[in-house]
Amino acid sequence: MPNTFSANFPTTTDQFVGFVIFWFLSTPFLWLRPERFQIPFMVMCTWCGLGMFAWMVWALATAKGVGPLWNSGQRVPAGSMWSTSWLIMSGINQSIGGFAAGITNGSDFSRYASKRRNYIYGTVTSCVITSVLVSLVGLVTAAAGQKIYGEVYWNPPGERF
Amino acid sequence: MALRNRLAVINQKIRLTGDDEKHEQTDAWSNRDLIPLPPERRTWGSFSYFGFWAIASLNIANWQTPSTFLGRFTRFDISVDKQLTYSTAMGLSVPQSMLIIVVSRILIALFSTIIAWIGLKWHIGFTVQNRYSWGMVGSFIPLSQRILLNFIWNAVQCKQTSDSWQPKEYSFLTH
Repeated sequence: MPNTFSANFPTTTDQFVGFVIFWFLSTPFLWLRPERFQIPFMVMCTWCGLGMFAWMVWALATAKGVGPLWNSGQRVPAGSMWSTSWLIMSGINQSIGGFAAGITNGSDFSRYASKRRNYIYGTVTSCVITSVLVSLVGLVTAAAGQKIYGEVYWNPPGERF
Repeated sequence: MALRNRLAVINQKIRLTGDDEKHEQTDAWSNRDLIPLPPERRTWGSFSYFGFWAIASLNIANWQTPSTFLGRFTRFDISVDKQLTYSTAMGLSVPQSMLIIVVSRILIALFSTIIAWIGLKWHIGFTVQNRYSWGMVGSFIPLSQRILLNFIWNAVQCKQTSDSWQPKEYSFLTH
């Protein structure tokens, strides 16, 4: 598809068309009542979970091991104004910052809990355990991909790092 | 006259209605979505909350998280319209990055449970919860901020997903 936008416009025509199509496809889901989210959740968890796991298995099987990314040691730039400990604190702060808005309106969803302990079980297994696993699987896949392609691909759909 | 009748019909149709027997009082301050949830609508079990948090965990952003803490990273720089590689990333090691992820996730779970407790106890949502600290009219300030943030998030999600459909030279899938 030819790009009809000018060169200094931050998107291209095909990206914009994709954006509008996905927007229209996703909007009907806003009509679902939160009481009935179980099936979309079930489909999404199975799909994404299996997809990510299969991806890691494929990458490890193809590469037969992980690339040097996996063993990358600490290499804080010499001129860095922060020590390692402060960098770790800053990383923790960044990670929580990304969720701050979602945390604030947690009661919009917690009010649907049939029992209080359900909220806690779901949060611990998904927000803590699954989430750490996804980061780990992403890291392992990127490291195995480095052995296959010679480059580190963090973002599966596109940009290379 | 016909137009006025038609407008009156539309006005009746788009009006929110509530079931008075279920205490769904409908006015400017209250409707079916704002009242404390009656027990029969509290339908979420543990798996629902697993699915709810999976939106924040089973995704590409989380897949890429370690890249922020490890070596160099690239970012689209709008001023020069190019992907630039920055070598000023944190440069932490793999165990240090995983430590950040584990600690921050535990803190997120802790804080979110504390803040969500009002919903677990009183079964009211964020918009109603704001009224006791901001006042009835003042609660529109955090409400409009949250709505604006939703517009941004919706656009970001649509952009990320639609971009992932584009066949690209560097794509992991087309290699």
